[in-house]
Amino acid sequence: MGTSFDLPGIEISWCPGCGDFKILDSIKQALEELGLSPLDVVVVSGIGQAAKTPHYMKSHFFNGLHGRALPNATAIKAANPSLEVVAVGGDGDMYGEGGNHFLHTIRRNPGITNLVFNNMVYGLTKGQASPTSPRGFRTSVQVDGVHAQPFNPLATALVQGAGFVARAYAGDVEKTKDVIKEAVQYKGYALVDIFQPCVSFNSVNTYAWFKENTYWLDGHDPSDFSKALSLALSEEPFPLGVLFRGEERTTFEGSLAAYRNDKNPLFRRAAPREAVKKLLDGMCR
Amino acid sequence: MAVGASYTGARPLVTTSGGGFALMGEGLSLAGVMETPVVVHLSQRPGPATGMATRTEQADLELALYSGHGEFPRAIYAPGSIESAFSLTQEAFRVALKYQTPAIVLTDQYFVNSFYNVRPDDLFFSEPPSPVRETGEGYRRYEETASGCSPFGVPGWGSGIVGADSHEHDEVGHVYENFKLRKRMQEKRMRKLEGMREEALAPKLYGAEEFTDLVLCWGSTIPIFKEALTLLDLKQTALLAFEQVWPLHSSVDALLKRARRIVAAEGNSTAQFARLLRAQTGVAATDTVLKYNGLQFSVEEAARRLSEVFSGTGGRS
Repeated sequence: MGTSFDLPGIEISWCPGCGDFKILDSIKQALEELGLSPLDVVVVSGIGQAAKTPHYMKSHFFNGLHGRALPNATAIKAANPSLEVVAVGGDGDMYGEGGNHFLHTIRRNPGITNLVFNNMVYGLTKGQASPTSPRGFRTSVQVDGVHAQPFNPLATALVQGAGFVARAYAGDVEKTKDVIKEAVQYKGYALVDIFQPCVSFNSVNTYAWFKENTYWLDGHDPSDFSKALSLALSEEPFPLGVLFRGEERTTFEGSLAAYRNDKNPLFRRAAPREAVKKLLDGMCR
Repeated sequence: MAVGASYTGARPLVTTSGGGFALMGEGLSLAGVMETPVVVHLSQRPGPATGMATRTEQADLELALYSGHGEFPRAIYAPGSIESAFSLTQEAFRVALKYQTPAIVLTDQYFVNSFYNVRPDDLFFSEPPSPVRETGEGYRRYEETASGCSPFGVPGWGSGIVGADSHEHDEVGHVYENFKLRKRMQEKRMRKLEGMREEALAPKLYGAEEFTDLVLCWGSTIPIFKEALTLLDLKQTALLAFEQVWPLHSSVDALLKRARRIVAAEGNSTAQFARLLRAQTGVAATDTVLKYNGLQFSVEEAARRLSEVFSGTGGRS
């Protein structure tokens, strides 16, 4: 299905068969079905294969530094809350280099959507273990297998207070699209961790493996935090779908004094001369 | 965060000291390649590392000058008074916005902890013009221009797509590896430095117009050495006070070449600014008056050490 987010005539550097192609389709279709236009959306990323996504679709884009999509996405939303901001990246980018930003962005609760293409490996740099690689996973660097405990993004997001926490699977474009739509519509920080087979550098977590070791949730009540946390901690099979959807609370941008009396984005504002004068006069007393 | 805000058309100010600035060096480089205006206030304290975190020093000039990998234009200001901090921060915003690149305001712990009465009328505020324009279809964020400054569109205003990329990029902002493009884009960014150089603020000369000896100062030490020279009342000595340390004003070269003797007075142990001036003009300081024990010069100390230099009993480097 063609969408207004398609960017024709480009060269995509992902490997043939990469799960990222399917995720890209899910994102474009989700945005299209939500009635958004490329001028409404800013796709923000860091560095990695997944972080190349903004170059492969039509929308505003900001491709920044490794691990640092989230602070920029937060700032873009804060500087113009009318924009739909989607921060994309891989597991290494968002949970490794960007781990600290991940923790604190969730606490701030900006109204952004965070999509993490989780293939459990550093694909751009040709196959080193990432924060989500399973224990024992052997690579050319981790020759004896991974020793560290894998990072659990969903459980972490839940205990950090994320209002929307979901997991999807690249192999199912339709269902992943539906989860992304729900995440974009959620007013507040929304995480979708998307399982993605890396056909070149992860011979363990393949399309067949994901099919075998995941299931879509059916009849789960996403307002049940305890159930959501226990699902987030469960593995093999890994649950897919919306684990948690909490009550919407004040967003970061909604909490800013700058918008208390003026809803205009910051670029439309003149300097607050009167406020500066009042401040200086106050010091003179 | 500042770079993301700037991309969206906000006018961000980051305020930090050496350690924080060092951590954010990658972000400064990002602002350089993305051509986003960002103003950074760097209040210097003695390093290395945590150093003496509640004391003062002027040892981060080279950090401010060279921080961030790769080459990109930047402007650096060093106010000597509260009044000039007020006006130079506006100048930093004006230049950052016009040239779409970072500007740094360099102070130090002594300076930011100083207070005295100022007349509100001396704090003149003039809003720097916003470079943000409405985009049209086919808009390209990094359009080539003679000045190197491209039309500044933001997401949310107009019918154009606004892109920004940390990689070397084409005019739209998409990552694209092409050696000719790379050269063109690097030259476009660096061309902005030429305009910034033309608009650089001249250093101020205090004391003897027909000087033979010159004392060089920048930032917070300016009023101290100005008063010290007044106390000493030397007939052939002038103070050359820099409140913009990069890029340098075109008058600097000739002024330095006129001096028989040049004393670099700085709050660091290696005379960083004198080194920069030598690299830029070929003129080396003949003497230094340096302090790096964590405290600011007193007027009396500055006067004593200058007189030692001029009487030939100290300071020669």
